[in-house]
Amino acid sequence: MTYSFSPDERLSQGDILRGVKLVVNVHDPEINAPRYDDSHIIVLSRNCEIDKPIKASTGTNSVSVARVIRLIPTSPGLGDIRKNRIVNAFFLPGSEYIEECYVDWRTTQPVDKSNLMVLRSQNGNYKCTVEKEVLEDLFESYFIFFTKPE
Amino acid sequence: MIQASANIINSGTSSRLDIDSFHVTEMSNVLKDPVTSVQLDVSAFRIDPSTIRSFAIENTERIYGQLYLVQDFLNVSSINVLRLLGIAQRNVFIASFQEVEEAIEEAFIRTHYDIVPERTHEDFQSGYKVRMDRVKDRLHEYVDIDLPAVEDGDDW
Repeated sequence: MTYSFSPDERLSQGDILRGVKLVVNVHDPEINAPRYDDSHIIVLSRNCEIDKPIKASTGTNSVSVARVIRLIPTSPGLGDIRKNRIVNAFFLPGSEYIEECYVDWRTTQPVDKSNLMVLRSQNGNYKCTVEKEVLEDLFESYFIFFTKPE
Repeated sequence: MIQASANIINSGTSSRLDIDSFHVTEMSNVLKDPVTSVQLDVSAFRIDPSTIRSFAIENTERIYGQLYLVQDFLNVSSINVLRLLGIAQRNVFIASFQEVEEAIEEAFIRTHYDIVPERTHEDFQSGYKVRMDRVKDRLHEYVDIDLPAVEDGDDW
């Protein structure tokens, strides 16, 4: 099983949420200006990081996430993404909880933890949680993304 | 086997402590560890070290957690909180000030984390090598193309 569905649980590593305001692109090289949009995300931070008290002074007010992008029939690289052969992507199969999609490793970024906790508890924003074994595959893919030789 | 219940409150420790119950194992013929063994009448019992740690965190965390809260609330250093509580003398020197701060931080860390030896360059190198050796035969199978930045609208 790839996913579990536990809407009453706390925010956890592997949660997939929708409607999270993220940097979806950057422009203007001088100021690295971000362009924001709502997006699906997967929570990458470990649970003990998530559980730490929310304090800006200790940097524990944010959680690392990556964008989860829907696959459509015209998606570039569709076949290779499904076979997990793309270095910067990890494929997530469709299910009753979520459509076929992939994690784009190039989009990893911090987001506000408190907002994520609120979204997690709201109906409609929590989609599902990636199961432990798939999560291990996912982080193996993350390792390869950063370490694959030229 | 004796079973007892323990309610451990999770409040942001180094691992999630969702322990509803724990086991105490009879160990009459087992080497007794002075930290984890308990003598009851003629029998000795061993308590799981993780359980001891959990209790230590729960109890010590309460004390240091309150201290941190007071620090935050009053925006003062630990030594002033201790003075306020009457634990530290009013004439504590600056040298002691640093010692108290460090002692509190050290105690806080030790109740929340398993302290491990320093990680060296060699440690990291061996870990990295193990990982790379495991995947090296498959790395050439990857397709290193640049997927376009996709706008999927988040309406799914």
